[in-house]
Amino acid sequence: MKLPNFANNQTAQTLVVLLLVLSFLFAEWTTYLVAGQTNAILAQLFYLPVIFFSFRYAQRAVLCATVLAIIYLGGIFVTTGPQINELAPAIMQFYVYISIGIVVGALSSKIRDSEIKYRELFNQSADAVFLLNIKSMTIVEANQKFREIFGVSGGEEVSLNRIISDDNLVITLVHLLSDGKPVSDLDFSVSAGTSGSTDFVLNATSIDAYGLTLVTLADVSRIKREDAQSLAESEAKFRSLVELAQEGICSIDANGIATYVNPKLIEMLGYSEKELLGHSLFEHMGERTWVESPDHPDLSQPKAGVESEFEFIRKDGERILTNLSVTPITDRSGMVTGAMALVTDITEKKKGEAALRESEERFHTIFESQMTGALLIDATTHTILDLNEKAISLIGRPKEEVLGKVCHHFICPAESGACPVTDLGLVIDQSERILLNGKGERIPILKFVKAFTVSDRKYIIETFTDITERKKHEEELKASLEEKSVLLMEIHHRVKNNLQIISGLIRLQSRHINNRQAVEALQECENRVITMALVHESLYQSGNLAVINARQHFTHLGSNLLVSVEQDRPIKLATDIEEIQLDLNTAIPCSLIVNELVTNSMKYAFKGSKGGTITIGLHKEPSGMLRLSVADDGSGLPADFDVGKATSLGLKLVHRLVRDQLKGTIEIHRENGTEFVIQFSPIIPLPKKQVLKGS
Amino acid sequence: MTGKKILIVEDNAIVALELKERLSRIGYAIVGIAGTGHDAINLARKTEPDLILMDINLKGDMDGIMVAEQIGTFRKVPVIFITAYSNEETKNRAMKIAPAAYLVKPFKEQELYSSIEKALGVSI
Repeated sequence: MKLPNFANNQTAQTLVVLLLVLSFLFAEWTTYLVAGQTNAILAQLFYLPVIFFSFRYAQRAVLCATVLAIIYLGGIFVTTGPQINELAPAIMQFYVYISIGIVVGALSSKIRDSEIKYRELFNQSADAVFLLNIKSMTIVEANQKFREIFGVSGGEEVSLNRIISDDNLVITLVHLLSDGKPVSDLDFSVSAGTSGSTDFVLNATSIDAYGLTLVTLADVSRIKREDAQSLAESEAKFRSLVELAQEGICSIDANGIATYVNPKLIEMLGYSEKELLGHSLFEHMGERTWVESPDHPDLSQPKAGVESEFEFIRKDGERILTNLSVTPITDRSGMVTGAMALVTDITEKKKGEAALRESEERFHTIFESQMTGALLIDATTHTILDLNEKAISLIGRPKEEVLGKVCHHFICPAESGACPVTDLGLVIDQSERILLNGKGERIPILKFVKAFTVSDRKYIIETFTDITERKKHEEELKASLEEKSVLLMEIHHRVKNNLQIISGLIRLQSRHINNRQAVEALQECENRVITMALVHESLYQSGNLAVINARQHFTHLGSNLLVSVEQDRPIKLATDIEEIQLDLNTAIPCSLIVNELVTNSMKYAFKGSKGGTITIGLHKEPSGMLRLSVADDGSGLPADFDVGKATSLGLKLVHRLVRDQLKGTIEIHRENGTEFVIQFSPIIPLPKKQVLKGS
Repeated sequence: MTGKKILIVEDNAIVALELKERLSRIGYAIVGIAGTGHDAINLARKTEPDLILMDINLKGDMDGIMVAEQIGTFRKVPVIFITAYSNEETKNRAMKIAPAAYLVKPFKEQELYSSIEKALGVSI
């Protein structure tokens, strides 16, 4: 007969304990019997029912113990009679039984409560829980959930194989548990009852040394279904993103072969999906052209975050420039299983960049090569952003000293907050300023400032030109002009003086002549000379030196003539002259004409009358012609008088001057006296070259 | 007007001669004709004129205004400037010494006679 393995056999352990207790009791009882102490044996014997009933009826343990204690005490009394030496120990024993009853009852309640609690947990668990006997591979106890799932009745003994059909899994499970190792998160599926296939996660742990194992099965079917659905939805969403992406997307396997290409990549490269799948991106494209790629990405061993620029050749031969970004895909162990490639067509962007570079290059060349200094200034901060070589040269400081500094420290005298352009809204267009250069020299410049906005940022461009030479020439010209003005003034003055001398000589001569006619002739001659002298005087006084004020001149001339000719009757002078400027070539003949006509009027118009008025008039007509008139309210000329046929020198002179010099016409009006009207176009002086040629 | 002495300071001989004859005809005594500033000062000291007809633009280093100022230091005599210069600058300079008149050539004869009368306090 094979002995049980004592160390692992709970039953054997219990039997041994019981045997020892009984042995003790038997030995004790034998001792009492021999000693004639039958009451002691009875007292020992009553422990058994006290313990039993207190344990069994835990809620009434005190009552049971008390009843039994009373029975014992009653039995002793009946047996021994009212003997105090027998009753005293019995009374002590009475209290001991009650105490034992209380203790055992409490323990029993606790045990029962604990058992109820854990049984409740066991039965109410949402997972299927069962106790498995590894040795017999049978389920000795299972909770409600288990029975529901597997359709098992309460008392039915179920084999493990009925739960897990996979023999290999069963063997693995048993093996692990037999070694005392817990099993965690073991996935398996079963077909159980009417619920169809169900996914479980199994956890198992041994709870004693006799092969009893607590096993929990968590039903993860719903979770898996939900996960699968979420995954499907997520996959659909990302598929949609990938399909609609504006970048080319390609998934690559561990060997760098394309396993998926999105529509954009297909469109970008011009090949069909079939032509792209199963090939390396590069291999299929033919010649590889690495444009800018410090790292040539190995698509079978991609590195995360590597971006390179590639030129791809489309199926139609067109070349496109792309940005390729490759991200590796790894498994749980970290091994690269593939990669995701993102291809962005940057052809247009590159073209734009090239165009921008070209434009910038062009601008820069223009900026640098122009002969005027130019500054580009931030209109908000007034800092100098750029300046060209000419500006550096004019400012006289190194570029690095000027860049980033505020503009009004260099080329503008305005203080902060008082910028003429940005703060005061002025327009500076061809303005002359003074630039103080690095050497402290004051350089006259012509400045032009323009404010503009690019991409919502405000700028100012200032250009300036050194006008030192120009200023110098201007000064020289001004000095020359002043010198010429002085010279011209002096010439007029001397001409006038000389004419005065001639007039003086004539006057002297006339004083030595007795002939009245000769004296009158000389007087007329003198008046003509004085008339011409007056023109030069008027030119001298005008300040212009080229034209005279007609009103002032003819008024002076007229009043001079009135005193120069002897009168025996009062004659007044009147003028009706517009603000007209006459140059020398017009003023001389007009003055001589006025001299003759006024003199004639003074001599002949008022004979036999009490005097009268002579009026000198000069107007500009709408046609642009000038109208010179000398009128008197005297007796008038004979009706048949023709100035063209006049015999006197004076009128001959007038006729010639009008016709030949002024190229005008002369009319005589005879209403209310006599009016000579001369019409002519103002003589326009010829340019100096032609004048020199003529003379 | 008889006996009133007039000194003519004029560097142009013809103009000076003409003035002399014109004024002599109406009874003034022309005590001298000077063409330079220094001659004018000497003649003024010597002849003690009652009136000086002074041209402003003279030969030499002195103009008529300077001469008038110099003469004024030793003899109080009215001066009538006769000049071809009508610019303001010359006029302003001349007016600072308070002349009796400032006549710009060509001046009217009557204008000359009136100025002389006024300066000498006589009537022609």
